[in-house]
Amino acid sequence: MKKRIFVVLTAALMSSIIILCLSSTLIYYNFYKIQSENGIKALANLFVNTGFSPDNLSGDLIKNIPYEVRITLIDSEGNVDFDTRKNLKFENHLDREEVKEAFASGTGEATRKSDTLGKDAYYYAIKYKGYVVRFSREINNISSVFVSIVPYVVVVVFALIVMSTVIASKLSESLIKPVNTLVESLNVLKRNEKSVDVPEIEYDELRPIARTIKDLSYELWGYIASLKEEKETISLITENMVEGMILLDNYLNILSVNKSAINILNHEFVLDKTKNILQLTRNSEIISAIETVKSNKSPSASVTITTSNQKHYKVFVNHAKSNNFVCGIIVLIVDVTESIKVEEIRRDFAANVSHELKTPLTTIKGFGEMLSAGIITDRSDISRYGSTICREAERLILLINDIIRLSEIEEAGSIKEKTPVDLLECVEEAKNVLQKIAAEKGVSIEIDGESAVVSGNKSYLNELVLNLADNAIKYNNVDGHVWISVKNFDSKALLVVKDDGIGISKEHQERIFERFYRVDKSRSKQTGGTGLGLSIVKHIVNFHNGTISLKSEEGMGTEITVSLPK
Amino acid sequence: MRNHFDSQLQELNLDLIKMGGAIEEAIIKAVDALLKRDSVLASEAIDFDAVIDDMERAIERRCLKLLLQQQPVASDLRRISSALKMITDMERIGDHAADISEITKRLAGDDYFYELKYIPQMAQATIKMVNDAIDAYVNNDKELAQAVIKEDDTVDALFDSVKNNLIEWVGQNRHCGEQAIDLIMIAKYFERIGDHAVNIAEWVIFSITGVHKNAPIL
Repeated sequence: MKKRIFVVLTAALMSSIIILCLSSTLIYYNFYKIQSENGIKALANLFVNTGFSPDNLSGDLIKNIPYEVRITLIDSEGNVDFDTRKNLKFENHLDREEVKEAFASGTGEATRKSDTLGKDAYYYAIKYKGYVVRFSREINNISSVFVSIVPYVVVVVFALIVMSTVIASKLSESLIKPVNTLVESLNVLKRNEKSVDVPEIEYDELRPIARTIKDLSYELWGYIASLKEEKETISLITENMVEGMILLDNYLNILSVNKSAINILNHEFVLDKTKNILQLTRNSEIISAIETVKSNKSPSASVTITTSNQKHYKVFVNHAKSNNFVCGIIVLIVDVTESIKVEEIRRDFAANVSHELKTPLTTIKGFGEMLSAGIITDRSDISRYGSTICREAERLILLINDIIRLSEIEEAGSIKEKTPVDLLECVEEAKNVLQKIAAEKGVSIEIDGESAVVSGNKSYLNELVLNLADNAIKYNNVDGHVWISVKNFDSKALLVVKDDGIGISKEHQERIFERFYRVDKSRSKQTGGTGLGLSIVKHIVNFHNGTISLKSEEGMGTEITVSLPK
Repeated sequence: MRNHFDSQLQELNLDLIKMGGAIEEAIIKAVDALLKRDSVLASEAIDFDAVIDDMERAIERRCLKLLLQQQPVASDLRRISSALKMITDMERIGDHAADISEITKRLAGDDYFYELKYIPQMAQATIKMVNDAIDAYVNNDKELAQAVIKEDDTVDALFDSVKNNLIEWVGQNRHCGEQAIDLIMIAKYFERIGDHAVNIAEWVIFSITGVHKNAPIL
C-alpha cells in the first residue's frame, strides 16, 4: 500500500512538474521571441529614421549597438557592404529570404539558422536607399532553453521523490490505522471472547465496514450462543440418559458415544481421537449386528447381550438418515435386565399356578374314577379314598381362597376402611391360634414389646401376623424359638418376627415374596401351605403403605421386620 | 500413496481386533460348554475354529501384500511383522479352545466325578489374559501388555494346583483315571492359552518399542 501510494504520488507529481516545465518554457520562449523580434523591429525603424548614409555606417552610429544585434548592409547585387561582425566572410545574400522579401516589398523578416554564424537568428530587413539594411539577433532555440532548465528540474524531482516517500508513509499509516483497528476487533471475534465493540472510525468511507462488522458480530454471537445452548441441551440429554448411545459414521468410526454406553461396554474407553467401534467393544453379536446394518442388508437390527456382571442389554442398531441418504449408524443400548426378570417371574407364576391347581385335581380325578368304576369295594378303602378326595378338595378351596384374598387385597386399595388397631393385640391373638401347632413342633413363642396402635384393617393385620408367625414355626427346627416383638419407632410401628430356624439362602431371598414361590422346589406337602402366604403378607404391607425387610442366613434363622405408619 | 497405506494399515488393525474378539468368543464358548457339560455348545465351539483359521489366512495375506507392495519401514514394519507373529499365536489359542471342546464332548456324557476345582478359575484367568493382551494391542498399552506377561505366573500356579489335586483324587478313585487325564489335558490347554497370550503381549511390546523379550530385534 505504502509503495503503491508512493508510486502514484511520485508519478502524479513528476508528470505535473514536467508538463508545467514544458508549457511554461513554451510560453516563456514565445514571449521572449516576440520581445526580441519587437525590439529588433523597433531598433531597425529607429535606425532607418535617423536617415544615415549607407556608405558611412561605421563610427558613432553603431558604437552603442549591443553586440548581440548584428547589422548588415546588403546592396542590390546581394553583396554585403558592411556588417557589424567585420571579421566574418560573406557570400552573396540575395537568396536570403528576408532580403528577397525586403527588395520586393520594402520589409522582410525571417527566423532561421544563420548560414554565416550557424546559429538560430531573427532577421528583419528594410529597404533603404537602394540597399537593404538587415538587423538580426541570435535567438536561443527552444531545446537549448529547455536544456538550460534541466538541472533545476532534476533538483526539484529529487526533492519530490524524498517528499513523496515521506508523504506516502505518513498517508498509508493514517489510512491503515483504522483498518488495523477493524482487524483487531475481528480477531477478538475470532478468539471467541465476546461480542465485538468496534471503535469509532474517522473515515466516512470505512464506517459502513465497521458497522457491518459490528452487526455481523452480534449476529454471529447470537448464533454461537444458540448453537451452544442447543449442544448443551443435547449433551445433557445424551449424557444423562440411562441408555447407551453410540453414533458411528459409515466407516464404523465413533462420532459420539455417551457415558452410559462407555459404562456398559468398556469402562476404560476414552474417545480422544478417531476410533473404530472395535476399539470400544469386540462383542461379536454387536459387531455383526452393526455390520449387517452397514452392509445395507437391513436398515435396522437388534440383539440381546449379557455382560460379565449378569446384566442383560438389548442393542438396537439403526441407519442414521439425513435427506434420504445414509450418513451413519446409531446404536442404542437398553438395559432389559428388569424386564427379563419380570418375564421370568410371569413364566414361573403361570407354571406354578397350573401346577398347584392341577396336583389336587389329579388326585381327586384319579380317586373319583376308581370309585365310580367300582374298583374299590372295601368299605374302609372307600372311606380312606373319600377322605383323601376331601382333603385335596379342601386344599384346592384353601388355595382358591388364598388367591381370592390376594386379589381382594390387591383390589382393596383405599376402599377398605381403616380403624385403629393395636399390633400387640394381633400378635397375642396369633399366639393363641398357633400355640397348639407350635407345641406339637416343640417350638416356643415369646412375645415382648409395647402396645402400638396403627391405622389399618384388623383382619388383614391379623392375617399378616399369623402368616409370619406360622412361617417362623413351620420352617423351624425342633426346640426352636420364635421371638415376636412390637415397638414404636418414630411415627411408625415396628413388628419383628425372628426365629432360629432353617433360614433362607441368598438366592431365594429376593423371590420369596413372589406368588407360589417355594424355596423347597420339591413342593413337599409336609409343611403344607399354598405358597401364597408371604405374597399375601407383602400385599397387606403395601395396603398399609408400610415396608417389609428380610434378614436371613441359611441355618441361622430369619428375621422379618415390618414397619407400618401410624 | 501414504494415505492409501495408512488406510490399509488401519484395516489390518481392525482385522486383528476382530480376530481377537473371535478368539475371546471361542474361549468363552469352550469354557461355557465345559462348565455346563453341554455337548451342543462344545460342537459349536469346535466349528468356530474354522472361522478363526479363515481370519488368520486373510490377515496373513494382507500382511504379506503390504510388505511386498509398500515396503514399510520403522514402526510400520514393526506393526505388520508383529501382526504376522501375533496371528499365529491367536490361531493356536483358537485351536486349543477347540481341543478343550473336543474333550468336553467326550466328558459331557458322564457325570463329572471330580469337582472342577481350580479349572473355572484357570479359565477366568486365561480369558482375562487374552482379553488384556488384545486390549493392549488395541490401545497400544505397554503397561497392560507387561501385566499380561506377569499374569502368566498365576495361571501356571493354578495348573500346578489342578495337577496336585488330581493326583490326590486319582489315588483315592482308581477307576477315574481316564477322566483325570482328560481334565489334566484341559488344564494344560488353558495353561498353553496363557502362554500364547504372553506371546501376543510380547509382540505388542515389540510393535510399540521395537524390543522383543528385552532385546532389540532390528
